[in-house]
Amino acid sequence: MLKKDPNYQRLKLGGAGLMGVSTLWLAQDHLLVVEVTGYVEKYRRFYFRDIQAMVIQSTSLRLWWSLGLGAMIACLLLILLVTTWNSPSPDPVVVWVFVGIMLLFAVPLLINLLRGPTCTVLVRTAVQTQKIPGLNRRKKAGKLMALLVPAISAAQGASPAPTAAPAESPAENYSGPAAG
Amino acid sequence: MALPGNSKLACPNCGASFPSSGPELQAMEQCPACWRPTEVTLFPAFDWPVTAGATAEKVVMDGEATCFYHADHRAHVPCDACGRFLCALCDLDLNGRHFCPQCLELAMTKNTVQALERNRTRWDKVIFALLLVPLFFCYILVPVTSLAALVLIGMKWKAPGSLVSNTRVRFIVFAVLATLEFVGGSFMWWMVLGRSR
Repeated sequence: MLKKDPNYQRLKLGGAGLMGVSTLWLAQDHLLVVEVTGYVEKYRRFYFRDIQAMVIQSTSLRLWWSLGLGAMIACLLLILLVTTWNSPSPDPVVVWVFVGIMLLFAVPLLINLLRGPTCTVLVRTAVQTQKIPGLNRRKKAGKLMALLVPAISAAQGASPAPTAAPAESPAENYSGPAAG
Repeated sequence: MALPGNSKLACPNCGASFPSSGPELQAMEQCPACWRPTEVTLFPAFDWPVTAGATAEKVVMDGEATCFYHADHRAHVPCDACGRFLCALCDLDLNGRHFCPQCLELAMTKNTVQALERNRTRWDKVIFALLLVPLFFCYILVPVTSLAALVLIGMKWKAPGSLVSNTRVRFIVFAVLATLEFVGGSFMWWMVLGRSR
């Protein structure tokens, strides 16, 4: 388990998406994204030395959620007003039921507004561009960047591209009988 | 400062290509096509050119160690898993560890190297569904499904568990639940069959 592994530090930045729940784990040389979708746990490792770019793009998810939830509250309020308009003494049970249902939408609306603007975070390597699942708020993205940028910069430094052949090879020093 | 190869960064919303040069990308504040606010952070690896693959050296002297797979190639490094000598062509570097193609394939199949592991089946979730779903949709099958859950717990006890949840603890809890379900379900069957007689 990663919780007990001293090499990994859990970043409380993950979250739930449409496809499942994801958690982020920071290791010394990579970021591990664990995504649980249904009965499968998927792992993606982004090694700091491979990351070329990170893209944060704003999305309109917060706006659409707010509009949807706000529309539901407005509809319920309208129905409540229409049903109680003509009656001289509206049934308090009906009013409380409506208020209760409205709260069911109002609380998520408030949470959605308080959590801040939404975004998509992409990690670009030499071979792929991957979205980080579950990371869809600007605040969280900012925190992740604050952690990752120094780590990636330290891992890559200003050194040129790693050469294909390593400088030393253990087999070069081998002096035993010929193999092969 | 061009992007390596033929790949270009593209907008995740509209798919339009972003500028290919580094300074332009870093100065970009929104997607040029859909105008969505976009921030791009570039790292030194962005400017690294694509390096050509390693080429194996030919054997020039008698008695030199050669690659296990290529008798005419000079040995470059031993495989960390099987110890066979590999030429630069056969050497597959994985975070500083060297593997031959055969061992890497085996490691991917058997999930012996954690860095290569891409997914795991959450058997605890399968067992939980096996315990929960029949209770609501087909309770007559509860003794069978709870027994199946117990068998599955026994079979998957040693299987690699989840990296984020404690699979063993869940297995123990589910084993208790499955036993209770089995006893309860069997009692229900016994009552139904007893009455019908």
